Amino acid sequence: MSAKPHTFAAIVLLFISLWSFANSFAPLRPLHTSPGFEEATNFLAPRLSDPKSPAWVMVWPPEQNPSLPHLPASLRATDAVPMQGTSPRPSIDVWLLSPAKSPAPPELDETPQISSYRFGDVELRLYSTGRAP
Amino acid sequence: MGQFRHTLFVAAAALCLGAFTLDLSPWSDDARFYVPAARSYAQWFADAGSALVHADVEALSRSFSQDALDTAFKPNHEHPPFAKYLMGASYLVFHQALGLVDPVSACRLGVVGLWAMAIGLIFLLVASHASLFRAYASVGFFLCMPRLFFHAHAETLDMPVLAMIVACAFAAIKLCEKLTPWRFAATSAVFGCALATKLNVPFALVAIGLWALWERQPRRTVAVLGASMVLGVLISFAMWPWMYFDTAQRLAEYITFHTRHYPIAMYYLGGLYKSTLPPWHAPWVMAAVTIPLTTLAFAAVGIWRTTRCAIDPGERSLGRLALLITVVQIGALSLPNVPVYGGEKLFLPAFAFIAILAGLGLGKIQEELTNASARVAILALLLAPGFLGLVAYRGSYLSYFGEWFGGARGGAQAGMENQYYDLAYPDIASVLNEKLPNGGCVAVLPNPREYNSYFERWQRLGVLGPDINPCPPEQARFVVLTHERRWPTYPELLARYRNNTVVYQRKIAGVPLFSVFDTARNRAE
Repeated sequence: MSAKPHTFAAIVLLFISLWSFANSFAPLRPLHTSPGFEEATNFLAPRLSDPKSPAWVMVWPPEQNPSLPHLPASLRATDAVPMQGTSPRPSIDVWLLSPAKSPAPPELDETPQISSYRFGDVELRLYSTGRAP
Repeated sequence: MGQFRHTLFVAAAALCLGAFTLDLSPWSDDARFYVPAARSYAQWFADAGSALVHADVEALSRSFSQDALDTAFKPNHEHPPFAKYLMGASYLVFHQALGLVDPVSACRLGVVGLWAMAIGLIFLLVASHASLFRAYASVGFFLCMPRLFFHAHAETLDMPVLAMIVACAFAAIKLCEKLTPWRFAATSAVFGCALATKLNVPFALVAIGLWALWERQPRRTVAVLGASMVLGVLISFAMWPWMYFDTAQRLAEYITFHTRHYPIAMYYLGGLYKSTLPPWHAPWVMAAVTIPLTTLAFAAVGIWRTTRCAIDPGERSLGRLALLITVVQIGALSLPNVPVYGGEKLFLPAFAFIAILAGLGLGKIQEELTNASARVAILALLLAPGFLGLVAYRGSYLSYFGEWFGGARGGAQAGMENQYYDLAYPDIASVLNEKLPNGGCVAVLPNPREYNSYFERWQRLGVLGPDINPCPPEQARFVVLTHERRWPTYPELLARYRNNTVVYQRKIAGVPLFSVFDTARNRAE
């Protein structure tokens, strides 16, 4: 292979590509089966029981959508940030429920993070467009 | 086997592949514009042709009256007609005359024909300027781009304009190689047909003009190329009967339609763009993230070879042309006030030239591997990521993102839209048939408008039960929710229905594309 550096580089690239492809389809652990999910929902439920609350619970990333039905029915839960144009809606709180250490959605890049909690393998982060951090 | 035989083989194989995989691409919302237009234009040609064959002067003059032309060519007069002529021809042959397929599939066969032509021309261009090995590579890279595979079947103008721009590139190269009256006429005709396809073509002609200057073509050649473009404009005008009457007003309407296009939402990097346009980099990023890694990397190598290396002048010339067309097609959408939406569809022609550049990028590997079997093996391996994409994303090609970007999951996490075109996934019909054997009411959200026409078409084809009808969500027994973050109402809709039982969900790599909720069954029951 040393005499064929371009071919060798192509094969390396191919391995990276195939590894990435396999990784993009790797089996997921559903959030609702992760340790800490129940504690996280127990933590959230009393805080968001007021139907007039401007808070949303957002299950993230989108492939964790099957965990939505496992949240208490009283919560206003979804898998996307409520938007107004190119920014999140004003004066809302978004409780981001995700596997620990998952990057937040790009929609919330500019939104202040108020607090963060860790329950086992589940992370709960509060973002607010209506208040300062 | 000579170059032309290889070309015919490749084009014929592509035609068969395209024709037998029509069902892998769901209908798009553009079908309701282009299919009726194709039918109407084709009927006009059939009537005028019949009058001509029977030497019926009166009927022929009636066909060319303003009334007849306006009636026939009013549908979808916002876009020029050439692609719709081809869709109309395949409609007349495969649906009306032979009754082999439904109207949409018949129109799609016209698009598939152009796709196969593009593949043949890409092959011929690379084979004649580089090598057979790299010609097969270019065609392989082109075939193994999953999003392109969707467009190869879609009843829209995007694949036709790609094919016609490839034809323009081919014709321009041939004209510059040898100035003959025949080549001049053929090039002008190709330019004319291309200009009569879609608005991307003038930008491609600009790129061809720049290429002629970059290549330092003799002044006479540049002048002849320019003349063929002017003649092409006249030919395109002659091909569009809608412009025969009230010309100035209709031309102004055409220009206004495209310069002030009604806003279409696009979700890009977590921003929802509709009244404001996406940032300038959107088309560049969308192009990059929807191409498999090996294709993208070898396209970069192809650009490097073309611009920095001492290579065969013919190969360099083709590479330069491919590079310029790619840059101009994508760059045009980066200009201020130019609307961008629909993923990659608006700059689709660039992908053909990216595939050409990727094929050219295999030059060094071709030199290193002298053994034919080794070349075939490495090519097969390098095409594997794209091919796996074709297999894994079948039926959901518009949800494809390059594996290096994390695939569909990476796209969703990066805030990209996971689908567009309000696709008529066939499994929507099959699950509704299963769940509503005696009929019932269904709401499709967040954008019900396009789906009403799908329901009608499915019912005409017997694919959907006759008593399954669209209705407002309050009355619906089932709600079909497409998981599209580009609709501002989507988060609320999902929050509203998530407590209902999901009876079916289509997803790719775990990312949901649409869910069917049973509104009568709450999950708590």
